[in-house]
Amino acid sequence: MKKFMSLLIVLTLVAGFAATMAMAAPPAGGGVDYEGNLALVPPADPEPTDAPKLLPAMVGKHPRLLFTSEEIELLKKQAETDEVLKAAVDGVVSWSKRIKVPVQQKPAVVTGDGPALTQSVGQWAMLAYGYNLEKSDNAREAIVNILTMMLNEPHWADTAELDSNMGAGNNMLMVALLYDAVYEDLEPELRKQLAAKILTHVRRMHYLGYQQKALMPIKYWQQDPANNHRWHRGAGMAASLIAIADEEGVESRYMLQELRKEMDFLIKWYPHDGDCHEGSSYQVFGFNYLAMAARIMDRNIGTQYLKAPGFANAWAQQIYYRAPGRKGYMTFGDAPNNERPFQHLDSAFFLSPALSRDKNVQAALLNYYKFTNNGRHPWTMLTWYDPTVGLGDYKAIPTYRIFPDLGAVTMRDSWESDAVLMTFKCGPYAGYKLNEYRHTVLDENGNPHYINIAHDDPDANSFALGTDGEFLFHPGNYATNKVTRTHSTITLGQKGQKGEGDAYTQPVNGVDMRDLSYLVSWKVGEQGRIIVEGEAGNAYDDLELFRRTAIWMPGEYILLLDDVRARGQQKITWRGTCEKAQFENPEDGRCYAYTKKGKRVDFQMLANREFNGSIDFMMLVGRWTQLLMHQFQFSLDSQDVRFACLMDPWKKKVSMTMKEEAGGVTLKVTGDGINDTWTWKPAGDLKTPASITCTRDGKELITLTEKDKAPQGDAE
Amino acid sequence: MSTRFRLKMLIVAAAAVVLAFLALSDALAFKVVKNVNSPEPPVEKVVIFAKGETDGIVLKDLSDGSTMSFTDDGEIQAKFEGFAETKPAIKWEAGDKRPDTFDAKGYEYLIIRMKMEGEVKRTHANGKVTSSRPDNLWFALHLLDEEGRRCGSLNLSSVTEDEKMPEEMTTVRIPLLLLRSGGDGDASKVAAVAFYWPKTHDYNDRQFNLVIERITLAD
Repeated sequence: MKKFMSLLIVLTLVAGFAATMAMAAPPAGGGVDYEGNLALVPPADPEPTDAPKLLPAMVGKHPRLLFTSEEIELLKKQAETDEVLKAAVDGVVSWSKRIKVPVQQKPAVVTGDGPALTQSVGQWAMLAYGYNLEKSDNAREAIVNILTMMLNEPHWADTAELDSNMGAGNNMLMVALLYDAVYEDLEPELRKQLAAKILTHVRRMHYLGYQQKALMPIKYWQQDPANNHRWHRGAGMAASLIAIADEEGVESRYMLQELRKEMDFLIKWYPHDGDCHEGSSYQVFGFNYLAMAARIMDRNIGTQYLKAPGFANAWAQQIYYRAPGRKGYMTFGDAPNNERPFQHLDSAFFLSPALSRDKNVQAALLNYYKFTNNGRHPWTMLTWYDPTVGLGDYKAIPTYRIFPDLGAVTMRDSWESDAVLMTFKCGPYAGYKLNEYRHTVLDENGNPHYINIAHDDPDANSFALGTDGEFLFHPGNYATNKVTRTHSTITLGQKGQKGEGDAYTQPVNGVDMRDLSYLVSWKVGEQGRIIVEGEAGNAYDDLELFRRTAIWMPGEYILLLDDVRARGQQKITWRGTCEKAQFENPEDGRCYAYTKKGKRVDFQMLANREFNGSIDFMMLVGRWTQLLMHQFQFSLDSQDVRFACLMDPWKKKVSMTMKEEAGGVTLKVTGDGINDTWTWKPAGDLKTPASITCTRDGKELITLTEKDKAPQGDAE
Repeated sequence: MSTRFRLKMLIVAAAAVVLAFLALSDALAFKVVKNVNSPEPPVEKVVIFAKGETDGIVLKDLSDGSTMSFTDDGEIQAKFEGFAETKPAIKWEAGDKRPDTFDAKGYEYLIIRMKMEGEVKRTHANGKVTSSRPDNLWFALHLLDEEGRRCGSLNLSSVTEDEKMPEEMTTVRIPLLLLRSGGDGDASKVAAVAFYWPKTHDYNDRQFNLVIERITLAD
């Protein structure tokens, strides 16, 4: 099973990267133009004007990229009393004493992204720690063999994107880490040759990749600062340049100067939430590399990139989107939402508590690490896990969180494995920070800059619900055709939101995407009660307003209110995608969603107009999975409608009535110990929160007013 | 106060509560227009193939990757060996209650009663041979039009109840809406039910036997 999971992970990575790279593939039949590409790399670089220098303490010192010899000694000492660190140290040392890497021609790591990601960085880079923790002959031989092999290879990415693809970045990172790790024990001549070789690949990456000179039709990763493929390359560049920065006879100053500009650029646009608009799955794919580049730069040339708030906050998108009782996410964006064990890229989020010194966050990450660990202890734990943070109480972390850059919210009733988790998203494609970049840094024609939103979905005002290892309303599975109708939101007939219908979503032209869909209001009341509103009217060609209100009454019920106003008569369809769907009693709107394993949520659906109910099939065609689902579809032909959906995940036997009065709606919700009256005065425009009040037995529980506006983008 | 009087008062009070409750609610519930999860089984409309009724049924593997035949009991059988691509197809001639083609939009379900016996033998680099049977065989079903063009396609394991390729004789209900797109064929003139397995690695040896008892269209 473990082998299968590992294979699945590798295949997942390879297939995902291959799919993304397919966008950048040359025309069919086109081979690699080696000479043509290399002719575009100039023989020399310009004279630098402001080249950064190594910190005095690091000059002439190896290893230094991620650790020094002194820090290794400290690590060993810490491992004596910290079981997590000890497991990682023991695992890395043991593997390093056993691994055999014969020198071969054209190893798989130079043939594509997948092997470079999984073998170069996933495995071979581990030797940097392994050798320094225990200087075995085997580890040294393996390192020298790898370095010799890479020295002999004419290309570190023998692909159409010659020496500048993502795999090249990973190979550069691996080679630099090993070179740095074994530097003092390398033969001087080999050391010299390797330094020159590393610089060669830095320069190819710079000119062919960053400068976009490669003979490639599509430059998909260079156009914006949030592209995680770019971050992979950044880590390779940072490790390479810092490794050889003081090597005699190696002129790397201009490259180092350009690298610092690149890093300044990436960090400037890194959201304060440290989030990824492509979802938690792609966040984990990119974060390790950006963090590694930042750490290597900070500790060696004195930059302060890790002070950017995104690094301390990045953990949140991981922990808050973990599905209760499940070894995986319940996330939006391109993610299979399957289960998998803890991997080397997951470790990077331990950087957050290492920076913030938040013991509770450390505990949350450790809790998840232990829950998902399959007996392997990733080498990156040695880089990112800081035992001096200490262990707090993960259950003390708030059970809800708003992500202002994403326009998304997660809410759960506890941190237990049987918790109920609801996610709700009404953000702009790309999130706020990247849109800010799009409209601030214009392209050469003065138009909004291209940004890569290939992995974003047309899912504004969608929700998902899960509990105890199961999805009750499904979050999606990395759709190969990104359409709104697969999501739990509304469509106009089959037609969904602007930008839908592509395998890789493209920016919507002619608009600021921040105006299409966004969170309007956010109110947290006592006992974790929450009201949050999303507005997505502008995301549809034929809607004037689509305000969805999610009301979270933890331990009691969930209420979803929809106010839909169309331009003319439209077929308005409310959709809820689940594993299994059934009508219980249509006369009073009762239905339930359930899973094959027996989880179930009952709900009641009412509206202010006559409407039809259907349960139809919905195939979620994903990159790696095809899931035959059911979908609730509540439809009517109308110019407007107000839906109210009352969900009962806590089995409180809740029931509601709905009465429309002049200017507003009154909802009565009753159930075990519940006797609530909701007064809902719908929004007057696209930006103003609705007025919503709940009283229980005459006493006010929670109220949403015009003042309760949701934060959008980076907090001030 | 008599018990009867108390009972009357209680009924009046309850009625008042109900009326008040109803007066408060002018919201509307819904009218069911479709339920694919109805406990009522689909009704067969067309029988394309039934066990023992082989007249007019044409079996051919379009890539010669399998051997197709009828069993002694009149079932359709396709035998797979090796690692090659395979495209076993079932065509039919028009009959009394069977048109020569069908419109994939004209019915809700394609129903196949079938099983797939067997396993994959894998020869490892050290010469060792192991056998396995994954739950998901990534064995696809295609609909083909008169020109042999694909109208739609799906992985059979994704539509079974347990998400496994059936090893025992099982009735698999396939929503036709899942088979109306995904190819360049004419889904209004489906002329063959076919299967597809891409070529696998040469160290794999597929030893499988597909047996089909019945193929119908239903609403």
